[in-house]
Amino acid sequence: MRRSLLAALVCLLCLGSGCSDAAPPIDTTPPALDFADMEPRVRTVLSALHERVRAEPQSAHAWAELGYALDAHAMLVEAESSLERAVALDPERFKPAYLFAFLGDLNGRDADELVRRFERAAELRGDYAPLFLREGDAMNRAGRYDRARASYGRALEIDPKYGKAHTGLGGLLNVLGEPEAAISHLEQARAQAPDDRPTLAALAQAYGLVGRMDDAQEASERMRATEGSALPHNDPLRAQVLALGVSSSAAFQRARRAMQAGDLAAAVPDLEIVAEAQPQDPDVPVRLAFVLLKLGRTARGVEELEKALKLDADHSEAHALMAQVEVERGALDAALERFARAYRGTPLDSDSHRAWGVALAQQSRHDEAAGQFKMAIEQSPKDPEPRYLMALSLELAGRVPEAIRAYEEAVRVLPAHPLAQRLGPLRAK
Amino acid sequence: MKPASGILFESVLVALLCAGCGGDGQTPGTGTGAGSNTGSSASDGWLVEVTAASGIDFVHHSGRQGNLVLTEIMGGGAALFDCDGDGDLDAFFVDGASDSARSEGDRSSTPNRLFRNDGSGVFTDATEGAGLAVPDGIGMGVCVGDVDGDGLDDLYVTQFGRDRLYHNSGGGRFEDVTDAYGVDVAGWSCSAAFFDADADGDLDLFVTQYIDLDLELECRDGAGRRTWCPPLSGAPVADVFLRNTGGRFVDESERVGIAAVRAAGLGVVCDDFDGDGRADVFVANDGYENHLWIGREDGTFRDEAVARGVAFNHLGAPEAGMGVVAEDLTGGGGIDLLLTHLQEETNTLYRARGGIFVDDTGRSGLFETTMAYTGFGIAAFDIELDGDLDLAIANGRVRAGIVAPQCELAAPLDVLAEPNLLLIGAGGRFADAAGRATAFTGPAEVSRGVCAGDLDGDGDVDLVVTQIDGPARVYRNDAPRAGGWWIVDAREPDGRRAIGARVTVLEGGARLARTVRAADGYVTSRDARAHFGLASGSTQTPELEVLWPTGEREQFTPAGRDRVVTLVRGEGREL
Repeated sequence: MRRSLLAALVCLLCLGSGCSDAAPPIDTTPPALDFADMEPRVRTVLSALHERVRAEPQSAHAWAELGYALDAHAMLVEAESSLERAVALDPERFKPAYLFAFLGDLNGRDADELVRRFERAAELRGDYAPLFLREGDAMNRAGRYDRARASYGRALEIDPKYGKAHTGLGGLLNVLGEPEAAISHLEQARAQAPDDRPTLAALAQAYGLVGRMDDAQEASERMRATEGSALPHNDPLRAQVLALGVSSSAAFQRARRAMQAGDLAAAVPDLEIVAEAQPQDPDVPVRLAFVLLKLGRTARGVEELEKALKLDADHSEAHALMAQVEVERGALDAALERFARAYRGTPLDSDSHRAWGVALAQQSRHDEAAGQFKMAIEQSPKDPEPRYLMALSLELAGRVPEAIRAYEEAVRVLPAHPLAQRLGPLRAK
Repeated sequence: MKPASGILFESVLVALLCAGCGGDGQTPGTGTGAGSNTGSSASDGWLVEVTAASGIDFVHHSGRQGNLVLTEIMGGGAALFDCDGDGDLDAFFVDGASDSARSEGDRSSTPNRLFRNDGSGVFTDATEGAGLAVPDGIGMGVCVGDVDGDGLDDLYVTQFGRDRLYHNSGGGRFEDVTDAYGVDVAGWSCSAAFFDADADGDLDLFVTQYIDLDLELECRDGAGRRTWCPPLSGAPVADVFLRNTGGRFVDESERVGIAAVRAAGLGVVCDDFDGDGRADVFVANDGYENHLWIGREDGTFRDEAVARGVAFNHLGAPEAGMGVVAEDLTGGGGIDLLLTHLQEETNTLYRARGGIFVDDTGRSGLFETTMAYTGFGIAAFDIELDGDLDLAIANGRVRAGIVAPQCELAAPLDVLAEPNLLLIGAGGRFADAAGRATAFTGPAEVSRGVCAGDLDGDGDVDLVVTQIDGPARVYRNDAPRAGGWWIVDAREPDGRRAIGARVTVLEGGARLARTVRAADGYVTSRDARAHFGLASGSTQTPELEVLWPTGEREQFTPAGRDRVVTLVRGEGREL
């Protein structure tokens, strides 16, 4: 009886609201975005994409593009909402489905919902290892440890050398009280990237859990001596999204990553974006100049340094870089004057002290040069070059016992250096 | 129409029909402000806001001037302590800076304020004549401790600027003894903790230092909008350790080893985490690995956070550590750690396993409840006296987000506002109890500190919450009671509070343990006494076991429940 009443009531409700067999209509109202304070480049990009979904509200592609762009500019909730519409409009496309699941994790959606999203993405493409890594991380965070273990395992089935998955699984096994198994995975990850901080941290913990406290301490000391994460996610779809960022902060992050990876040329266009967005910040042209000078683009580098010095006539780093250029150009007096101006008690970087030392040495001021090389060594103790230069300066200054000791130190760092040959004859003296 | 399965279909229908029922979807209760807590079962009334009735009318001022300086959104210190020796908890609040004064070179604070309790939870402003003068920095936090062993709690106020030490002269009067005690801590201090580092009987001090702030720096978010700078925008700095030499504090940060490590410290809690009888220090760092300073025999500390599993989360990533509590949150008998973090990070629970910790956030239920919020202050307390610790978490973002619909704040703080969380603990899992305390969890504000203590003397724990540029809020605990209670005041024979003592209640086979301390959470100081909910159902009077800071272990059998129990070292049965 009760069921009949309910059914009748539902029919009444449906008549009023136009219910049919079809799925509920998809809300294609564009998200409310406040463009007012955005950087002009960002405003241009996002407003164009926003306008597009307004014009083509049934276009899954348009919604997905808006979602990616919002994600690239760290507007994660709005991005997730756009991708939700993209997925609803076209449930067969893998990229929005995957990133919808990933953003759901970042935005703290509940575990059941995340499972549903990751499963749907995996149905569309079951061989994309980063998907299972992300699912493993999400399930791990949510305490769905069995599922997390299976997800990491699937990622490793697809790519047995997937370092991030070994690290994720290792961390999980620590939680599950299986530190020996954790060590096995973590040591595989460490073999790929000896300085990966997450791996070293989990490894230190695993060693601790099995009572290998010395190993634990060694791993933690090693971790402290490193910076950042060295293992890549190997996730081209996510990388594509991050590449869409046109804000100064997105560009800066990309430039920083490129510089950390040693790809200085790739950092230039992003640093130019930052410089355009922050024309009053003298640090930006200095950073750009640093990269340009390293790439041998001296004229452009000098232009940027001049810009920086117009904004801040006392910018220490700008003066130091300009002085290095002057040393290369042989303008030694100008360089020395500029180094003195740059140095205000706080040491400059190793390159600057080394160039300063070279300028002094070229004027036969060997004692002073040795002092500069010593400061360069303090900044970069593993670099053999300033060590040999200091030894040579001391030798030329006639400070033979000190020179011998300096050569000996330098040889310890790098035996195969042309100046190492001077040690033998000097000892013979 | 496609056939729908019965139960699901009915529930959808009920949802449809109820969509316009109004209110917040809670079962109608008996109101939030009515009556005492005994027998109250109002579903939205476990924490009733009684700010106006309490007489506490403190309003925080950040001193913001529109240039989005990080100091504006990081303060909010408060303390609950007995300032006048009358046995109840008084309240002290740290202000930021005056709205008009925080220009370059001028860091004038507005007055910090003291409120005295009449014992029933009604407070009177006692700032005038208290001697807690207006300091010359931007106020951040406060910690409480009896620095000279006279039985009265003194105050250490942290600042962006020079910190201040106030000696309690009795009767609610204080004297600034910063210079007399040789305290010279500047920079940007946040949370601080008094503890007896060297087991000599007096209280030493650990002060977290945040970052070397560049006041000129302008930061932008992912879309290029101006925002408050993140911690990584300033150089990390080392924390400070001050050793109490009797009438003087000596900066021994270098000697004990903590000066060698730089990070962005915000939260601190002290306990014996490795069980060797020596005091250790845990520091929650913002964006950097946490530190676990293990006390060593030679009086130095060694950071063993990485090896012991508390430096990073389970994915090996550093998180934005803000507040921290150290309690047996999982029922395993160890001292677990729980840290509040940034949005897109969980609040993280490290379960203790014999001196090593495992990130057990997943099993705790904290992922789904905390991932969407930026947590700062945190209090672990037994709201309904059932023996399990529950959590009150003060939330409020540090970077702009979507304005919450219930937010009533104006720009620029509206984009930071979030509701607070009440999480009910049971067996190491925490469930969101927002619907049971809507006065606490409903509004969206930029909250920072949470202080826990029994303000009205009824045996349960009430809360005080601070917020940025807004009024402090006082919440009376009206949760239905599952059992009785004890508040244990552990004292040394000379009357000093036994900070660091581990008090364990043995009741019906269960063991509930708490450490006597005032400093935990974020920039706040709470009632240092150990509070227990007693709900085992046993008819026998529970036993109390105390592991004193001296290493002595004693057992006590207090008469009766539901009272403050004072235990004095040497007066129990030696174990």
